[in-house]
Amino acid sequence: MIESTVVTIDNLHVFYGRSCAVAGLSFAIPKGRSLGLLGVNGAGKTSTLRCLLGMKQPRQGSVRVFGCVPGHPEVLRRVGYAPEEALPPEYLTGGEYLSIVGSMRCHGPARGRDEIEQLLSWIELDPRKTVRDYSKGMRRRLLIAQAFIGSPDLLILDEPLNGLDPVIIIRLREKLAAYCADGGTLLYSSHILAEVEKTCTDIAILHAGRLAWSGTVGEAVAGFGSVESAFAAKVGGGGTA
Amino acid sequence: MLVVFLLFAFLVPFIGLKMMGLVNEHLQGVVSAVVGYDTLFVALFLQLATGAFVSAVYGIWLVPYLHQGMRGPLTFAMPLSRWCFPAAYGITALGLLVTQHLILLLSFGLNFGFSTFLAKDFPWSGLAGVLVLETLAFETLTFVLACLALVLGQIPTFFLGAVGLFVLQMGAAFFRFDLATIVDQIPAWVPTGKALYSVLPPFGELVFDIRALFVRPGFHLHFVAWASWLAAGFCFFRLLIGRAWRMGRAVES
Repeated sequence: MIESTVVTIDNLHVFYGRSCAVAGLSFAIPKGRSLGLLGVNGAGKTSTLRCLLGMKQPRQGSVRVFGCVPGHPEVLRRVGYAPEEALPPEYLTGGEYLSIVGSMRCHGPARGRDEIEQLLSWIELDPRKTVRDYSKGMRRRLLIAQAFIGSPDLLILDEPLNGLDPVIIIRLREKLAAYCADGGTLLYSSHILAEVEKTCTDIAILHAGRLAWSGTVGEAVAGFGSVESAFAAKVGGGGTA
Repeated sequence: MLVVFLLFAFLVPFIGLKMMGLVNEHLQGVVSAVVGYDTLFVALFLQLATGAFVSAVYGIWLVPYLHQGMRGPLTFAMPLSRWCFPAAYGITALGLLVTQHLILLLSFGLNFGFSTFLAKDFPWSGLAGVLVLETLAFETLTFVLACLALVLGQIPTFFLGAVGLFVLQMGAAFFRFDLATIVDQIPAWVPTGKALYSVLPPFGELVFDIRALFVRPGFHLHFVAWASWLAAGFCFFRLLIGRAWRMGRAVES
């Protein structure tokens, strides 16, 4: 069976205690598309991503990834995830950490080693240094690199640009374009609207846990002039996220 | 960390046995306080300290490491069954405890000669029984402390664990004492307390069980209690790392 829809979210409600983070969110991501998830702080972006990874159970509604319940090892094997804030074990070197991630994604040792060497070269990290010795930006690069290991069918990046220098931002944009061109599906949460406009094919704007607007980047540009203007029109404010 | 553990696990029984060997050498014939295989029993007793150390460090600090704070999201996004985590931690703890047992035998051999192990009357069965009991007890302690550390945090678990072990040890001494010999009427709470104590992990009984097993090897009822508590701790740990609320909190912390 050919999977046409990678992610399906239907009437999602997420709560932390009594506090509602997501209220009735619905959207789907077809295979090969890249969706930019936009919203102000607290709009429900990270909570939605957690539900997609099985890290948070919805109070109501359903979430399906590749048609399955999220969080199952076979589903997670096909998902690359770079969290907004995370720290790999500090005592490991960058190379060791990527090797461990690679081994968990069931690589043959040779293929895994090649892929890890390519990734290390791409992010320009010294694989012999420990995570403890990396700068904030280097750790960020390491997190993004580990998400690509195993050629995942779905890539989830939560605020990937935080702490990255412009050179790496451009390289990441190019790599994501190549990834989507190869049939990969991308879910990209970011506050950098101009970058989302360059990287994604679709956008979903969240506001107060609800879907304020969704459509293609082309529709946003045609209707509002730019993604930033669309965001400002639907969420309010001066046009910045 | 492993080097520190190996050094500690070696020094405690080695120095303890060395001191007992010296006592035997200098006082033999005058005071026969510790003779023969009693030294081995004392070494097993000393191992309670090193075993508790291993369980505390491993259970409180190392096991929760990958599941808490900013490491949580990466750990939980790995394509692994949640059962793999307690299984891996249990096997690693078993490896550490078996290493500790081997170091104990090494210490004994270095102090009293490795030919001692070949003696016909060497208490292998008593030794094996005690080592199995200690292994079950410290595996259980590891999981109990790991579960507490995930829920309460490391520092509260450290103090709560210390207080808990102390209370259970005191409970063992208290409930073994025949109160009827000194008071006319046993307080009403004593039977309730005794019933409660009997369903808790038998940490307080460990010292008595070790002695009993060493002297009279064989099946001990507390084997079943320890195995049950270990299974419960294993499953509860799995439940904790699978609970969405817990993971959400771990991610946010």
